[in-house]
Amino acid sequence: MPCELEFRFPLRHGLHARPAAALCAAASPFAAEIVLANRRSGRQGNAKSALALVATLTRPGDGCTLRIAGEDEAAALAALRRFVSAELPLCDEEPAAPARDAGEARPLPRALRREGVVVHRGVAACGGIGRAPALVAARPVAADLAARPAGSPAEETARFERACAEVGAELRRRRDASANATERAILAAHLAILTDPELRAGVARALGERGGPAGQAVLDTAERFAAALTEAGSALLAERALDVRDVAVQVVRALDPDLPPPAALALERDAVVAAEELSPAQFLALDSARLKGLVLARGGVTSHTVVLARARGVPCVTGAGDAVRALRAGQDVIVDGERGLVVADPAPEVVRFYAAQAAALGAERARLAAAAARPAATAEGRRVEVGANVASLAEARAALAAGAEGIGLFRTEMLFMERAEAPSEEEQAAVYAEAARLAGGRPVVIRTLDAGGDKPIPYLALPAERNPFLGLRAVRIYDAYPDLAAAQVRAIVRASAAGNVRIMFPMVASLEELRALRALVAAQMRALAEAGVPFDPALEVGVMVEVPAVAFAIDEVAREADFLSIGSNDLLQYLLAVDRDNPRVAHLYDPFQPAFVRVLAAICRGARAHGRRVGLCGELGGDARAVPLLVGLGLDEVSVGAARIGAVKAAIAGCSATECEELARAAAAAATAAEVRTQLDAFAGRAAGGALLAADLVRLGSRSATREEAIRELVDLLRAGGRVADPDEVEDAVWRREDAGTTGVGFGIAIPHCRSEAVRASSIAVASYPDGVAWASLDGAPVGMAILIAVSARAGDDAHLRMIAALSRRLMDDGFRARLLAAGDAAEVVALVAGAVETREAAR
Amino acid sequence: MRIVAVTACPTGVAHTYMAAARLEKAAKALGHAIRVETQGSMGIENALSAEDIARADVVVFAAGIAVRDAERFAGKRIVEVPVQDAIKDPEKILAGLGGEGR
Repeated sequence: MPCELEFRFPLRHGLHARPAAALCAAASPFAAEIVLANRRSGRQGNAKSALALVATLTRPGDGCTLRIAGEDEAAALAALRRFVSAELPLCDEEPAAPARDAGEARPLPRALRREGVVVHRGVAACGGIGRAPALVAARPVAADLAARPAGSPAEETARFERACAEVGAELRRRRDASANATERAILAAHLAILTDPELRAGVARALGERGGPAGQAVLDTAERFAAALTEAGSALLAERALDVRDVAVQVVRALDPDLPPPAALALERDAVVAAEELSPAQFLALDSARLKGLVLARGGVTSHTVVLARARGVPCVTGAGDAVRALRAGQDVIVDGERGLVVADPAPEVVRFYAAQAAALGAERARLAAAAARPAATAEGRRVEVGANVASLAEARAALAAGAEGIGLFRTEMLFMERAEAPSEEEQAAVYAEAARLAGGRPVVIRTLDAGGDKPIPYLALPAERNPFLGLRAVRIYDAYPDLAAAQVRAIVRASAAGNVRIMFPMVASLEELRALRALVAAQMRALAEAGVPFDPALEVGVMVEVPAVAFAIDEVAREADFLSIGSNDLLQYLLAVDRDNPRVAHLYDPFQPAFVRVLAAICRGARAHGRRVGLCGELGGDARAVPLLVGLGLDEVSVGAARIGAVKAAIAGCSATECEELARAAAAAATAAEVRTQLDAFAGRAAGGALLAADLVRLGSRSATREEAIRELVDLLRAGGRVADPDEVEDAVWRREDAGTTGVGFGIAIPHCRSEAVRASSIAVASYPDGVAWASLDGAPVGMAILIAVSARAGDDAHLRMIAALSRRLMDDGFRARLLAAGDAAEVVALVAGAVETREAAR
Repeated sequence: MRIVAVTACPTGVAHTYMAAARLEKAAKALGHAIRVETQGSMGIENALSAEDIARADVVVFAAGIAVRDAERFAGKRIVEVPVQDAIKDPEKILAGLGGEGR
């Protein structure tokens, strides 16, 4: 006799994929027919189908009934009763957060925490903020499947079953291999969709009724389910629709592995491009002027597409699969490359927030552009050249115009890619010579072909390798392709007649290799000399230091190389044994590991001992935080993406070489990466200046309209002054204090404050509001002036704390407040605050 | 009236000192003798001595958090108020303490 089990749905996110998969698993062992009926929505679904369960649109608190009918119904009822009372309530437990899921732990700015704002998180790969309609790159299946040849319905059904088994095995393998609970849960949900009886039945029905290829039936059926989920109007269910489509695509790929890749993208108007992945070639084909942002599902922050995006200054968020799948073509989208966020259909407050952020960034960029125009030197005037990494003449031209003091790395791979055969010696010589002419006497370091690994070149027929980064690549292929190597070397030697050209060999691992390469250069020089072709016989031959072994043979290598350039990206990935493109270990790729600092120090020492110039041409060179360390290590040159030239020059100008040397010694002696970071932050804090308040931290007549905007503006003042390491952390800390009790203390003033690790140097920022800002003040009145007090959580800052305490007391003095509120300019505010602090000091 | 007070707040950066300043000024205006100990970011300052406490007619805690070393005040009459109130209207707090001004 059929039986029923009534319960109230307990989970706060409703019946989504995870609990549906669990209920499905609990119901499936029984022969009895089991149906879940939702008494509120009036919908019901097969409890053995996760999709049907999700489609009941069950919300938290809904009254539900499980109807069970069949021979084993008693056993089923008992099992389901146990499941509903004991297991179901736990199905929503947040999966344990992965160790350091990119961006996960970072607080969101207040403006993005409003109700209804949908923020997709990813990894901040390239800074800047872009806003434009979305252009969603074709999904992995774009081909017209219906036109493909099809067998009989029975054959197609059999193919479908085989494909499902294949995808199922792969999903299970990945689920079991994953160390990440979130990922396992998602893979389990995908597995539930794949094995869903309703979905399978739908495909079988479609094949039986209409025939045609199985792939088309899978897409059609999945689309029907996905549409039903999307129509439900819930963001959570809409995400499940994405999962259904995702699984369908996997099945289609398994059915037809030979499907053509998606077509190239063309930008007809401004756009944010969203794609599962984008090859460097696809990226380069995009019109930079129209490309406002890039959202990628796959690719680490140092993948080559991202490196290129950074060089072009395109805001980019990677690891953002959710965003890529959720975005619709033409949807208004903001890419926040600073934080690694993607916001679709931004609300007006969000637009205002990003407009302010973009303005702040713009001001910072203007400051950096001014720095870029000056020669790079430390405070004492010690020169540290800032060159540019480029991959083409166009990039070289742009970089030299943007203040590059040379081309520190001319990557030649682009010349060899996307074509049927290698470029001729003539063609190469023309390009290299043109680069030399563009540089007009400034050095141009041309790196020979670095193919293999992630940069395959079709006509080189390099075999696929399990571990290409440790395989046949870079100079290691030159023996197999002697003509190609000789032609490139000759082309570079010939270009030396046109300007200040240097040749650099990648991935040299030993002195033997260096000697062989020097012999190659010498041989080509002899040949050219015999042919009467002009070149510079003093052409410098350098080594790109990226194999850790070279650091331990630096004495020999530096003796025989004319110059060295540290390729920090690969050097670090080889040293730490971390694949920088693998998002699951990318967080271990940490240039501030003391071991890496020591390796850098050893290379620099070795180079100096032989009087060789040593540069650095990896991503690390563009990290302003790392600059004092690099200066302290004694680098003669850093070469960075064109977009970073100003920031790096500004950072160098803010450095004292002697202090940096001390910092470098301390960093090399540190025990952990955290220690090195603390040292770098403390250094930056000291460099930002000791005074609590300076005129650049005062904004009179602010237009901020809300407490939210006002706080953000104050925090951004500190950021522009270099006072905080992480403005979002500081904003979050300030808001935690506001939430504990308003800092609108009455009298028309507010004193928002925080004590945070993210504050480099204890500082005060001041803004006045002619129109008043509501601050939930104790006396209910609007605030005419806010004084943000940001205290460094670092120990030993008692002097500043004492000053802040003194200022707090003084703010309770009616006369002092009146003078402060009446101050006519920033200098007056600074003087008043300084006076308040000193008076108190003197009184002590 | 002889008053001793302790001010403190969650971050100990600003409110602690503002409340102290407000209480001191209001008490002076009303003719009370007051000593205020601050428990802020620099730890305990202007610490109340055993003698201060013994001589006080009343103890005021204006703190958003637990007062440290509260056992020093055992047996005294303690008036607890939110630290915000001490900033907003210290006169009202003092008026609520009872007793006579000198």
